[in-house]
Amino acid sequence: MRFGLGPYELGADGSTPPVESYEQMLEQAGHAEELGFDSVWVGENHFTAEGACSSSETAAAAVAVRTNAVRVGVFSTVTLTNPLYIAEDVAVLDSIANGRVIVAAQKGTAEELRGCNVKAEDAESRFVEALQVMMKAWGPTSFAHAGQHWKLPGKNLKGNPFAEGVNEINVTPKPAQLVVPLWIAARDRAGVEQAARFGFSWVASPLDTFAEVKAKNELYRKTLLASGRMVEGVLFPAVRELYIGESMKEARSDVEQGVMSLYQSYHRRGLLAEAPTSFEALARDRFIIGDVDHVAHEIQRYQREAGVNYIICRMSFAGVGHSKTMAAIKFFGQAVVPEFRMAAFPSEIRKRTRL
Amino acid sequence: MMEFGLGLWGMQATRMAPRHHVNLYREMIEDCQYAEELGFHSLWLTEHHFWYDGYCPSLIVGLGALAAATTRIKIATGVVLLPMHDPVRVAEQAAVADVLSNGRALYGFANGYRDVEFDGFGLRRKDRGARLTEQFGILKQAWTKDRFSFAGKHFNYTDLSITPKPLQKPHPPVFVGTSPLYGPAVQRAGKFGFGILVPPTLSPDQCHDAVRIWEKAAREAGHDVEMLRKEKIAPMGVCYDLWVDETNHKAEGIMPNLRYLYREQLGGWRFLVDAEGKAVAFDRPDILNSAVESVVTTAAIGSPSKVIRMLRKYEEAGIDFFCARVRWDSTPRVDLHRCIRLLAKEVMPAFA
Repeated sequence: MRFGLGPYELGADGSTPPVESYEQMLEQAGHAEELGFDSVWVGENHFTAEGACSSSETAAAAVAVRTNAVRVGVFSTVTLTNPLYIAEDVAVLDSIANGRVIVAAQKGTAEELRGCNVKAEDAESRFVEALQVMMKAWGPTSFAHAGQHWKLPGKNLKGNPFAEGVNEINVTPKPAQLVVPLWIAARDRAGVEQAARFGFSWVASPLDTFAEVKAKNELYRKTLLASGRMVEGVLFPAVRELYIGESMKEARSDVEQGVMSLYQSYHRRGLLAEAPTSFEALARDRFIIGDVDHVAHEIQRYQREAGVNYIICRMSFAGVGHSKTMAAIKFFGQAVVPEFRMAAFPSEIRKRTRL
Repeated sequence: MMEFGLGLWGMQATRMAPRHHVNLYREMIEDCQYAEELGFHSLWLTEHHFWYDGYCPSLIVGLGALAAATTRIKIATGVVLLPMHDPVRVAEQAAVADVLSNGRALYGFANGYRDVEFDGFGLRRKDRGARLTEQFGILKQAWTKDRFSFAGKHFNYTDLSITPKPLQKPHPPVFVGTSPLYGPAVQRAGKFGFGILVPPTLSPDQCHDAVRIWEKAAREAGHDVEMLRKEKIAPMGVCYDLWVDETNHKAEGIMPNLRYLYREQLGGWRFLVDAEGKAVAFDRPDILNSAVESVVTTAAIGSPSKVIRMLRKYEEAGIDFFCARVRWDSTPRVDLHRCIRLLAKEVMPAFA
């Protein structure tokens, strides 16, 4: 089992100015690295009422500078613009991060597509084509691409005496990694199947219930095998709202308000069909919020029953405050991570007994 | 008071000095930290696309890294070739970097000129001026208005709100980079109330002319010129090729490094033309080399006192910001650091 921290949305919570939210994220990222996390993630959301971070690559460059070992994950909405921009940004980010980048590609919300003048019915084909362009751009050679949405290089060469005969482009610099890990962050069935066919990991959204994560991981596994690919060594990541406190009650009271306002915003953005009414209804089979035993048991359940082997923990919620979040990250790293890293040892040895 | 920035970090792994990019980006961060320690105003990155040496294509991602590595120095793009970009994406990235840096971001924008870059993105170079004008309008609105709409020939947006908004109000300072033919770009800068950044080949007289054109255009657009200049919201900048060493003779040692870089770029980028309008590349070394000489001979290279004399003429011409272009590819970093130390200790105080 591996553990990530994030994705940070960095929206305004009314009490913390944006400049402090970003600073706190950087401190939490360094803290998580020391406590045995495998990755830190930045989200990307455009045009939101909450004022979320709209450029994950820019913010992740800062995370990369403040860490040395963790992977630096970016959620990136690849349907909204020319994918060459994303390919270039990620290549530079990967150089800054010394080859630690993971990209989780998103399809975009209805509001994001509208804002960028992308027809909703084109999102699917743009998504697939953008991934193809990005992979070509990161490849070792120059390339040309002629698709439904992008033709690169364009056909403007006539009349440009200095570019005559040039019909391929080479995106530089190349990423530091030979292959940049691409994950698919799309909740629909098509997204799961695309991930398996491309041979990318599919990452479960925090909105997916336990049952959905399980069913989609099964679909992913089947499609992967049907495409002639191996399942061994493949990552099955899932993003979860996760928080750990001294008791079930304390954990819930710390984060309830922040989580509820986040899910109300998901509802407004059209990501969650029904308006959230109660914390219990949302939490059931979705959140991992509680004391040490509860959190460890829940992660074990995802591991054993839903096939998940990588939990990305979103531990930073509006209203909780930086020092409490830092404490929760530490508590998780010292009390829960060993349950999985040292699973073969007797519980007296691996358990952290006191705060 | 004259301010000094350092440029231009492009993280190129050229034929003369091929390096892994991971090292080049790490050095960018270390150089920026040293520049901060020495008291420089800003550090500037430079952009091109699709060039074999990995010339940095994503400046604002680079600023994200510098923001996390420094606390006082301003961090700047010199310049984003804006017509090749998506203006909403740039507005968003620029705002995120401004927040990450606690309001230390400066943004230089210019047209771009290499055909292969426009072609690569599927754009027409001849649209660049029109795109840039629309993009300036979009950036200003996206940064300053809660929600905005824009209807143009190249861009259309309806009721958008970019987030976060920049930390600096009304927005981060903007510099418009110009070519040696500075007129149109300087006028555009004046119209929007933005600063200017003219190239190293302009003489002090031409700089004086550029400042005059800018002031006229800014006044006509209704801007408070005195306030814009006094508050340094619209700096009049020159990006100047520069090298300082203890003596004039020692400083001249930089010339081969300048020549290698300029020969390779002027030749490889094929933007020079001969008398018949034909592209000049490495097959025409005579024309190429004489063009390179005309560039490198304008550089401020010498002892601190010589460089002070040269820069003083620009100050007298109305320039109030220098981007000292000191990062010459294939130069040992120990030499670079000696150069910027001398610049900080011996040259900058003369303009304080």
